[in-house]
Amino acid sequence: MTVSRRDFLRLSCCSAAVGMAANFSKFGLINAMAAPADDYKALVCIFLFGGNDANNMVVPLSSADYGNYAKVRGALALPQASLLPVMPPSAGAPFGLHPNLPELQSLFNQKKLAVLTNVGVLVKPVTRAEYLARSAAVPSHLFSHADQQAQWQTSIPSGISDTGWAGRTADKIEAIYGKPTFPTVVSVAGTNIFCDGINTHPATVSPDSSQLLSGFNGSAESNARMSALQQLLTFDSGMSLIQAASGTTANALKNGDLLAKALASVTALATPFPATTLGKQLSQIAKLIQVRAALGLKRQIFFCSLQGFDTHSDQLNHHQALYSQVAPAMAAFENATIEMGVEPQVTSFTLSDFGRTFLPASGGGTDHAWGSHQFIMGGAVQGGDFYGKFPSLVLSGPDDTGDEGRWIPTTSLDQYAATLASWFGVPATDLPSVFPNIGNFASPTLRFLG
Amino acid sequence: MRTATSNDHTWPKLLVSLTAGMLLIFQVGCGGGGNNFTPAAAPPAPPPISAPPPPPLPAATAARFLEQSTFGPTPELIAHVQTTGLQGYLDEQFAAPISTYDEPAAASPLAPVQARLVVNALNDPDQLRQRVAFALGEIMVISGDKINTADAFVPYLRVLHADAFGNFYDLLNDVTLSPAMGHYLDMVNNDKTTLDAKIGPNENYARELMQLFSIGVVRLNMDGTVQIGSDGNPIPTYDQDIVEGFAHVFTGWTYPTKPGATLAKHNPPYYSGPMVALQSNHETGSKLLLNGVTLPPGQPTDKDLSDALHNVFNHPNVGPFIGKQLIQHLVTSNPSPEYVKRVALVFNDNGAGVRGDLRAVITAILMDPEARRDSAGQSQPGDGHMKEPLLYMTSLLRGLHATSDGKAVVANSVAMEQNLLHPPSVFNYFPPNYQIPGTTTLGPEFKIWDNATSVARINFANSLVYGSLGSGTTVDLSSLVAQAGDPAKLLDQLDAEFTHSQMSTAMRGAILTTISGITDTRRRTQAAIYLIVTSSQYQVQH
Repeated sequence: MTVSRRDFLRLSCCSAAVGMAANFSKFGLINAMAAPADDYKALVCIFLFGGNDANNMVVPLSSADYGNYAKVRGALALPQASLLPVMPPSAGAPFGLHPNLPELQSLFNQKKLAVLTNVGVLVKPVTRAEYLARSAAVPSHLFSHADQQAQWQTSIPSGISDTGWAGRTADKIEAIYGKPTFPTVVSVAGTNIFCDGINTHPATVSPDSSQLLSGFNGSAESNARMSALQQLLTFDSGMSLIQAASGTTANALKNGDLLAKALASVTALATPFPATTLGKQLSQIAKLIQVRAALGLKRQIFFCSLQGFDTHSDQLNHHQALYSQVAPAMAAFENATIEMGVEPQVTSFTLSDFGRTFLPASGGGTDHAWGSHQFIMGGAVQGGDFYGKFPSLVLSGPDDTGDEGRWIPTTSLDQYAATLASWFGVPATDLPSVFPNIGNFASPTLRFLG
Repeated sequence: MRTATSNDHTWPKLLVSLTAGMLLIFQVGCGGGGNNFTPAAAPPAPPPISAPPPPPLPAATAARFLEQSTFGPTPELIAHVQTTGLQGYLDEQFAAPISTYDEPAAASPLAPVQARLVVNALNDPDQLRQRVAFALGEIMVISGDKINTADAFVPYLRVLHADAFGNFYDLLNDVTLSPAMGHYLDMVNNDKTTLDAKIGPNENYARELMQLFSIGVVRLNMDGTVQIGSDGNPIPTYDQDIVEGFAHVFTGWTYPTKPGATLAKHNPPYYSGPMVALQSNHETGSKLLLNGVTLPPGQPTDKDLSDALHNVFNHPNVGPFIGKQLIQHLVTSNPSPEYVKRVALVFNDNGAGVRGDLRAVITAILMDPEARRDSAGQSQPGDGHMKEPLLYMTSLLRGLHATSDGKAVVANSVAMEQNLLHPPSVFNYFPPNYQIPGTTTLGPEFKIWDNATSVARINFANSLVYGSLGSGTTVDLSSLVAQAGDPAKLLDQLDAEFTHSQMSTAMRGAILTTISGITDTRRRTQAAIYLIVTSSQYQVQH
């Protein structure tokens, strides 16, 4: 097997210039265009838990392709006129974004947002014939939430990994930049294996509250109680779980302290964020980027997430609510990076368990599938285009594992993630140790970041 | 294989020999009821043992046992169990009246149910049933994110409570036919394939029933370890074709018919009683199940369901898969393979030929020698488990004799990543196989133990001890304060209540030094409680 993915030809001509959104201040514009004053980069992972049905996120608009889509999707088909048109040069045909993603359509047109099509977890390239004959290695327990979530986060498609690819990326970066006092990787959505490295350990930060202990007022009694609490965390009980619990709490107190001091050193960002689950998380990430210098960080990786994409039923309504949350939150975050003058230095990207069956399931939803489309956003992104190969939306067609429309990915998560890690600063020679299967794919990196 | 149904619940008499190292002996009773399951090595029926008066049970043993079997020990319960003995307490618990939920009005909000769950856990006598039901509800998950009214959720809680000491088959059946589960995982109104519309049966319930509620994705040995195939990889228990087979089984069910209404293809949402079958909406073809079984075409809807659930129930994975998770919820995150195997064998046969007897399984879990390492120094490094947020909060409140309307616990559960009755997905708040980062140690509850939640838990303790949890929760420390004139005595008492009289010397020394420097007895008491209950030794039940 040669190349499993085929990049569309990228056309060099520009689409019509699109004006900046009105709320991008002149100040922000100047900052965005200024050369970065510092060597800083951040990656922001937005994990859409549950398995996002990208078949309804990016829809072909040409009449033949839309007709085929509408025929199979039936009641799940989005009306053609409701889709938000985009014209990716490499595709040479119009596509439509879900009607609740206008902010992302705008970012796409500003060339700050790209779509990576039919990407998924793979051991190596696999064809339908190989899949049906069970003759090629495929990720273990396909179509299972827990397994595919772990595979997206670890880049290990079979077996158990106790580290994630962000954590391993941080390992490599800290080998270059040194170990910072505040963790390189931060989750604002609880623990996730994505963040765990071999030598690096993430911080988790709540999007809502400060991470400081309450009830201490600086009196002698209070100080004595605090030092006793700290002392108790150092005792070796000989029991693994107690030790692990103490380690987490000790880090919490240390990181909470560092963060509180850093946050006190800056004035609040002016960019408004929606008060949604994802909006609050991305707002917190923006603050953590804002205080990068105070925390002594030149590289940061963030994890945030939104639940609810497991749309087995009533998908049209669920998607409407979910995308109405995703798009404004992502756009607000992009605006915040402009306000901070770091837009070209911050790249955000989506991941999700898997795509969903092209064939609807009883109940107005879809079942678990495999390959899917993802968004990449930021000033460094070669936006306004599609990357990878758009699947053939044909049941039992060349990209289907069976007859329900489970697309076999034609681009690997490894290639997607390695592209991000390379941009972030992981040397090419280190990629195989971060992404063990990267050598199974003809091109280790893609071109959406130049 | 015929298996237990709701008609043959005749429980074997369980005898405990306290002399033979807490070894459980199941007396083979008359309750097999025609079950043809024969254990490979059934223990010989022992001669009846005339029970000697129980030796006085150490307080530490009673307290540890209560940490594993209740929502938190109290001084009174510790003293009580010292008199009943462990088996005596279990017998009491198996007979205790089931805690109740008010009959909910249609479309009424879930918040009062959340609070009631807490209030029941704090006060009601059926502690073990509630603890087991809560654990089962974290294995067979529904969530308020979708099941967001009391009239939908309460019947499901009642199923879990009613079946917690029953047979696992009945639990599987009742959960499967629960309209709340039906709605949560889309088995309700799951239509047979319509050829014109080309829409297939919904696969959601079929997949999660196998992956999460019964057998898991890989074949297990009886000791819970994973079976590895000749290719060096774990052997999957099912594939997509089997998922689709079960999805076809689970067609043709709709909401219960409202009183006075007529059965329709899609009854309107109604949550009282089990879902009902409509044969005309059921897939008629053959269905591929587990272990090479295929159901013949044309079977009635309920016959297909019963056959399919027995196919799942009799899969050899169920004992180790469910048994290990119950061990993890009650006793330890890292049971030895031998412990898992002992419990799985009891699942397979309670000693009377009955498979799936949860009362026997729970007894086996709690009376196992590995659970009963009660003496100081017996603990192994991987023992114990992180108290999940609800258990942490209720243990604290119960230990301090707090009175509460439950609301503060509900409110604080969110920041601890355990928003009560609202797990983020069917995968619960935490998975059973979660490894503590950087270790090979399992710690399911560590999935929600992080920088942010550890601080949230400590701050909850602060609010409780220093009196700012809100008007719905009050705690009276006066009896403890009355003893605080002697800091050592105060610590003895708190040690007995919160750390089963086994606080380490170092911990005790550090706290004693600190509180001895505080002269005000109330503030001294508060500081002592705060330092104990915020410690990792308390956060981790061990």
